[in-house]
Amino acid sequence: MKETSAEGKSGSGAGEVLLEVEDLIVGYRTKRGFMRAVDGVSFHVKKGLSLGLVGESGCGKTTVGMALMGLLPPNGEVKAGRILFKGEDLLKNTEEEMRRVRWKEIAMIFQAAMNALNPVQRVEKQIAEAILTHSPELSGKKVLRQVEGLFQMVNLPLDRMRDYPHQYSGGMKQRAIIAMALACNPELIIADEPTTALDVIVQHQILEETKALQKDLGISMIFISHDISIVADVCHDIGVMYAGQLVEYGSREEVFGDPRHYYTRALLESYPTLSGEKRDLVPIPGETPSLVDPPSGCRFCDRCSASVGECSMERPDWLEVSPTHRVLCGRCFST
Amino acid sequence: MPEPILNLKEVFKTYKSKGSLFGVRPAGLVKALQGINLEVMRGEIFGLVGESGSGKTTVGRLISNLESPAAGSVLLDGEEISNLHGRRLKAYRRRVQMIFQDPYQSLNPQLSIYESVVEPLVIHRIAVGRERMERVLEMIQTSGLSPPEAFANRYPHQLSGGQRQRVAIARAMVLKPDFLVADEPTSMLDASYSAKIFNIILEMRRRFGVAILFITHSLAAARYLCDRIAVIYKGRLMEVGTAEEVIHSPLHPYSQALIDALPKFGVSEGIPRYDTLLEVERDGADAAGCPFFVRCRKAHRTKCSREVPALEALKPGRYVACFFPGNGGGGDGTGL
Amino acid sequence: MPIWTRGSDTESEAQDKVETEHRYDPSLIQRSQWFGQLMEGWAVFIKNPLGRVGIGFLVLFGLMALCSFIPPWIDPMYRPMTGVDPEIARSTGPSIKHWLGTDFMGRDIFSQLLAGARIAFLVGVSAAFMTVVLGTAVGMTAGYMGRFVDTFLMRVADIIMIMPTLLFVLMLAALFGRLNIWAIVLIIGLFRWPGVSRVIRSQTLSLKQRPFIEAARVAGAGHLRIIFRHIMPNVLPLSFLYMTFRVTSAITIEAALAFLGFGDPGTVSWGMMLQWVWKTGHMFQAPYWLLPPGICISLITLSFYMVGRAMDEVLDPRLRKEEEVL
Repeated sequence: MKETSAEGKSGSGAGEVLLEVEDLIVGYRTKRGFMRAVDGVSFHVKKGLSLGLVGESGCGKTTVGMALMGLLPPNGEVKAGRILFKGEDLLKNTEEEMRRVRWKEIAMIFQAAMNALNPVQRVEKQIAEAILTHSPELSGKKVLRQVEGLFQMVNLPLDRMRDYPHQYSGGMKQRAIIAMALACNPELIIADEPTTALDVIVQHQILEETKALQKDLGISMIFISHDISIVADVCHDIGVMYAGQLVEYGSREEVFGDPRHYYTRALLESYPTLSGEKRDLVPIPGETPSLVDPPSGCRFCDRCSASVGECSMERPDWLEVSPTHRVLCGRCFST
Repeated sequence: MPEPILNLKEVFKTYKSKGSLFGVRPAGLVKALQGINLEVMRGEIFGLVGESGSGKTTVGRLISNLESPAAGSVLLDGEEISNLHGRRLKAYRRRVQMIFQDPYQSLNPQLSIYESVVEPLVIHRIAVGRERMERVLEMIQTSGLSPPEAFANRYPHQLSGGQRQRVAIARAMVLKPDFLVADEPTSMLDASYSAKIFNIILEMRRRFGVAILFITHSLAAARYLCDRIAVIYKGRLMEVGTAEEVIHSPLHPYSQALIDALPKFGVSEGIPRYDTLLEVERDGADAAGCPFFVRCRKAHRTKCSREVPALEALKPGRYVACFFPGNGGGGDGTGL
Repeated sequence: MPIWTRGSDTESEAQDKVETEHRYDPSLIQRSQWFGQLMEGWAVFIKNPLGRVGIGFLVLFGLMALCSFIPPWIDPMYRPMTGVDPEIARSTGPSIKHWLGTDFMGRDIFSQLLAGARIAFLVGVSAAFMTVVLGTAVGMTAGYMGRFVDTFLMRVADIIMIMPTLLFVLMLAALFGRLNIWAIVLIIGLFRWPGVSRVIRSQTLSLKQRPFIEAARVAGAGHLRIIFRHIMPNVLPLSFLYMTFRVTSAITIEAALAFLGFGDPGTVSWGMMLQWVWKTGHMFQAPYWLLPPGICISLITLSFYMVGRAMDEVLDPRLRKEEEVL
């Protein structure tokens, strides 16, 4: 079974660390002051494994992806932290150096990827161009062969290579986008909500294919989603984000088998599943706090079922459940 | 014995598609619905599950009288609705309401929340003065926006998507309708917000006894909300049954494929895999047979490609449109 | 039933809330809200440098128009049209008595300039108002009704759009002799609406497809309610925006007409002043006479344009969002 093999891989810990993010603080200058969209986030991605960042909209997960790619909007700014990619700090790179890393070593699949294809250009041409931009020395024939290879890799029929994007279905467009991300043999792919707009069956197929591709090619991935079930399906490691912070971080088995943070638990309890007894869904009360002036203590305490007085006063510390599983919650051992 | 409130009888719907500029693609008819038969009971939540393009939204639009069927009839309490006009249409509108998919588009940006929710009462001249105000505030509160006074004065752009959807629910429910069409009310929202919307919908049913057609692409969501579920594919119903029946012992290969596709949170024990979907689609998309034939692993090469299976009752209340119902898997977990 | 507002309390809670809230007056709240939105828009608008400069100039011109009544009140010789300085019968340069000098028959240029501001506002705003009312009405009707009404109205709009306004007015003027200022306003109004109606029509078409219109239909709203309650409020800001641009074009057309000698002989407009300069051969002899009306025409059209651009930013949600974030 696929699950056990994945577990074996992550359990062996053989994969060396490809990307390491340390105390990343990213924010936006707004009318009401500096908004810390990402506030002190640390994680790492091992070679050949995938990390899932999950959280509600506005929790900063997309900002993390943009910061890693060096593609923050003009009013965005990395305030502090380090992004070590193969030991080299990406934040110290110039724009020129960053451009070389982008796509060639780190590729990104954007949210609403359907619109990322150029409507007036054949899909084949677009992917070929992506290859040529980074290896201009390749001959036309070689590039074409590479495009064919990519099409096969993502299960797109070869006879549709010369079609225009509008002739593709949603799932096919998504596959084309994945092919484009794979075009330069990147070592890391950041996928931001790659399947949000797709139907259940197509989503499932693409996720399965992505898993297989990742395993076969040994690519590392960061999967960003608001849907906890998707990251649970695809990722080896999980980071749960809330209001700009990482609140729980560990392997999939640890985070979903033994969730410690009350936010993770709440996310799981609010999610409808098919397995097990039909139980009542427990929604998370309230709304997410403002990031311009975040609560001084635990940011989840207003919505938490287990919060006590000090939760709102003191900043919680990271606690280790196991060497690979940590939680940002003062009360995670109390029950 | 529950009595039906809404009936769909042999409903067909076609849309004209425009041909392309140079006649590469001829103009034609897109068959959105091909003979739908449905019955929704009073106070029931009925789930209509399908993928995009299956015609599930069209069913909702026909019921809310935004469109009329090409053939067949839609009956509310036995009364045909497609030729209603004037006062009788208005009376129908009072009884049947709808929640739309996209909360970012379904509220008028120029109206405050109070103005949006009060509008149906103004249109139907229900209640006046303080009574009207109280009714609006109460419904905003019941929709989970508390305190309602604080929300009443805001504008849609000041609310999150989930909050907007609650406003849309309040607007639909303020008339206390007998029937509510909920067209994928959570598909644009964060997964974690869905539970809130689901619970509000359940609360509305509990309080007002409204019958609901819940349109969704997710069987898991349908499981939590619905009493009965119908699976729709390419304008035809594939399977109808109680929620537990359809989810725990699906009989149609397409329903089985839908269940296979749902995320399992890494745990697969206790959930059978049916594996009814072909890796590569078969030729014969224009064959006259079962709409699912081209994707079905279990299909019979000749029978399924030539005949359309009718939606037949296996037992009272359990229908399936397949020549070999339950052929796939059967829940033994072996996955064939 | 686990509803997050704590189950069965909800009902009584809601009831309590409503009971205790006696001073809740919807009419009051709606008005203040509307005002609040306006203020919010104004806050964005006034941040924009274009808007600030534009408004500044417009206030200045407005003051000029208001003050145009003062000089004739001080002394009849400052009447812009009929007042003549008895001691001067030719064009003279600036002096203490005549700040900008006098024209060929000894009339005060400064008081003419002030009167011209009044005429510019009058012509600009009333013609623009007419265009926009017509254009919005036609555009909304065409967009909402669709089918042959749409086709018919848009063909009419096309025909009028391709007619050159200035040429047509000149022909009318040649036919009927000199036109009075209201006739000019009327003609500009009748000829400049098609552009507005096209924009409003496409806006109406896109609004008509939006789910909130369908939601209103499901709620039972009739055509009139949908048009006036749901489409119009979303279209009016755009109409208003177009009005500022139309003011610019109306002022230019009036000035051109007057300069060419087809203006209303009974009013003093800036275009008229330019015509007098030209006709009496002072074009290159009297910069004190030529420049003020010239500069005024350029500046007033420019400032209306700038105000329009700044409003564009208020109305365009994309531009506005950026503003909010930065």
